[in-house]
Amino acid sequence: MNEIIRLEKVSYAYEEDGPRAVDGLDLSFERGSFTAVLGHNGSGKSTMAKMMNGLFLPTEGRVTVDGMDTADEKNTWEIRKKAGMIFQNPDNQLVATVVTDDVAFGLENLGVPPAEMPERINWALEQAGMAEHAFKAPHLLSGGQKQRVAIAGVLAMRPEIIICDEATAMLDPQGRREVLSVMEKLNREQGITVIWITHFMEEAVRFSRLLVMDRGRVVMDGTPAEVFSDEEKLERMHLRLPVMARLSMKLRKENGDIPLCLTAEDLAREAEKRWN
Amino acid sequence: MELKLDHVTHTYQPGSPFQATAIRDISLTVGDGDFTALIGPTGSGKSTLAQHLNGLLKPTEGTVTLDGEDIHQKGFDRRRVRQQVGLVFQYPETQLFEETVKKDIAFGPRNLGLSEDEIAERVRTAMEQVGLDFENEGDKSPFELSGGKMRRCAIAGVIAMRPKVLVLDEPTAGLDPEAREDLMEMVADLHRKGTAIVMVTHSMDDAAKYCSRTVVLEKGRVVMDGAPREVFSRAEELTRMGLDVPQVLRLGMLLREKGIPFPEDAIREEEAEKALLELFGNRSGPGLQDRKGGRGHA
Repeated sequence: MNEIIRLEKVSYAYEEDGPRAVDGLDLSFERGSFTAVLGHNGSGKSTMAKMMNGLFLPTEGRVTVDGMDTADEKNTWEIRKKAGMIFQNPDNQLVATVVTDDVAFGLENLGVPPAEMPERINWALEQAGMAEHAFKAPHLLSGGQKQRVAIAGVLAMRPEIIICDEATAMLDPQGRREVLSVMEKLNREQGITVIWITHFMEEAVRFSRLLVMDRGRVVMDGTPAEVFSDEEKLERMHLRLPVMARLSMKLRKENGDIPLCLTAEDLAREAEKRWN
Repeated sequence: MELKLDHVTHTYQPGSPFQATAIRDISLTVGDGDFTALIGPTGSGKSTLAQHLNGLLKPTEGTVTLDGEDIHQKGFDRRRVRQQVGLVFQYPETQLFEETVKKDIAFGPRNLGLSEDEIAERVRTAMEQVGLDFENEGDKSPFELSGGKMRRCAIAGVIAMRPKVLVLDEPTAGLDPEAREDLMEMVADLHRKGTAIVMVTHSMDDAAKYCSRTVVLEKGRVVMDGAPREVFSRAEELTRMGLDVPQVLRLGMLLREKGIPFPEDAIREEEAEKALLELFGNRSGPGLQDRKGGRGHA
């Protein structure tokens, strides 16, 4: 097993003796994996995410990123470089008045030699599909474009992990598609480990592993097909099946040989087999 | 009640280098009983339009009238619009500020100069309408509530004004699936009880499920306006604008490509369910071959 993040008996409480937002998590993520995290508001998703790059330190237990303990201060910079985070609000993450400067910001903080910067910045903007906007002012970009600038800013640091905490929540459908496609490509082509927190079930079906959190614990862990096959449990977790999954399951009750379908394409394909 | 935008154009910072026209020549009427979805890509002018509906923004050109009276004319009491047209911004919970849920909801009615009894009654009813528990949650700090409930508390503050029109700007953004569903059911219930609704949304599934009318904005102009079924029949144009179409509609297009006669006008989940069951459901019934000529109806 080649794991890049490991949580061992990890708990987190925002106040001393307060309730645990994360409660005894034992969990690991493999290098190059593509994982979505689901759970209702307040289930502990963001708290967990913030412990995975040392933004929060666990109240109990241990988090290691590529073998480095996040609680050890001398690892902090190395960990932040290795694991980048993208947050929900595109307007809160950009700092400069020109896109390239924004991407350069993190590199300056890392002390990257100026001669190396243009190449890294260009590469990052290229990867995020934002090269043509390099000299624009961020406030003139759409939400999806702003998020991709934020992704480029993280990418320029050459991370191995990118954690997206509801990165598409404030975007329109087009922006959501753009951002998720960029992350799919980075995972596929660059082998970047992606952890994607979302409330959109239609996004979740595109990942290879799904985690469902409730009360600070992981209560479901499997492929989308495995997780979405237990509708009752999902509903108890205040979640819902994706529309196509729900339709296919209703059909399955009547016509037992239709399997669980996660997307419209799946359902259309299965329907076609039974039509001709 | 009739709220009418007549040839409304709005330009931000006119005459400056930052001049930008957000909406152009928009005419739109909201009447009793309407449930209108306002859809369009980012930057198409949805929020600017929404803020004209209660007089928060003044048109650069054109007029906004409430029951025939220009709301920006001299001598018009604009508080009347603010009370009759409630506006719920994006992420309204960021505007909660009072010590308790009750006090926060009472803020608007108190500004109307109502009696304490009337205020208390309105707070109680508003909490009931949004599904908050008056006894157990009324004296809590609004900041102790869950995300979904905080949002409902903020909306209660607006509906306690008893508006005839409720304008909601992306009311479900950032909520988990159950909270989204609860919130949409709550809005549908307000609509059933007589409040006209205008909802800015990115969810085409919600527009298809709840709304009686869909208005599509692009680059500040109304480019489509009609019943959801009419608007969504122009799927290609919507896709070209970067918008989604209801998932059921997309399923239908895929099925018909494969020669399966799924009804063209199905846009809601329950319509898809019915059609699919008719096409594939009963395995003990007649064979598929026999039913191949039949067509489902939504």
